Amino acid sequence: MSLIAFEIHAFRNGRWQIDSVFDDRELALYEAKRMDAAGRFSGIRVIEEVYDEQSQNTTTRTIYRGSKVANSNADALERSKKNRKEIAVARQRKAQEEVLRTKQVAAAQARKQSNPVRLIALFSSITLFGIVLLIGLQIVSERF
Amino acid sequence: MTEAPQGIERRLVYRVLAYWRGVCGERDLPQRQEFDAAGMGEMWPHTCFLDVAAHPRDPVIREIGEILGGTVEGGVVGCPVSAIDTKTLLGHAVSYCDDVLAKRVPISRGGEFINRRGLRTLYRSILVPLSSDGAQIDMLLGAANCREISDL
Repeated sequence: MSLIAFEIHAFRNGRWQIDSVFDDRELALYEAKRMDAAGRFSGIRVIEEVYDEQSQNTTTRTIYRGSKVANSNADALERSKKNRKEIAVARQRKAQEEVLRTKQVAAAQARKQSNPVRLIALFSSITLFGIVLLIGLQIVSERF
Repeated sequence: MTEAPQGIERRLVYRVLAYWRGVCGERDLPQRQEFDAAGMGEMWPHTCFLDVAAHPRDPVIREIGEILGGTVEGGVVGCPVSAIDTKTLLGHAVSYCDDVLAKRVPISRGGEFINRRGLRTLYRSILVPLSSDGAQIDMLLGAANCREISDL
């Protein structure tokens, strides 16, 4: 023969505490739902306790969890999902921007290197340097 | 608010529990003085008070309502729980007072028994703890009702 009890537990002062005990499942669940709706406690649950007289074993299982706890868990999960998604999007955007910036820098460098004005200036400088060098050499050779 | 299935809110044990909770407010345990006939109304005749302070091992019936008292023969005020006839509603209603003292919370039990007239009787009962100082349980409030089933 088995003895069944339904314990309502309330979460208060940072821990689960037994609130009341029933042998009527319907009454226990009704009272637990009422307490949950009242919102006085941050958590409400109903534990079914079955005592088997033959084996002298007691088995317990939670048959009700207050919606406040369930909703809170669901909200936290949803927030976490949203945060993870936002972080992934931000990372992807940052990576894309990095690639774009690298391309822009490379293009700018390429443009800079192939600029005709720059090439003409470079050529002019070399030519001017050559002329100055030749004139210098001529002066030196005339003196000695 | 959750919808009441099959009139749970009309049940005596539920009404007594709700009344006890209301008196408790933010406290864990209310005082004996906060329960009276005027406040409890129709519940009052079904109730009894067990004195625990003077008799912690075998509480004594201190007061009993008219209807619950009518389920036992003779006067029971002053009788210890162990002396109450177990074939009566009162006997069943107070039989688990030790559990209430151990757990310090309301406990409700129901079931059936064969009464002194040989009739199958279904009952529901509740015991709730009371305290003068808000810490030590010195009284228990019990309430119970029953109906006989004649199809045995």
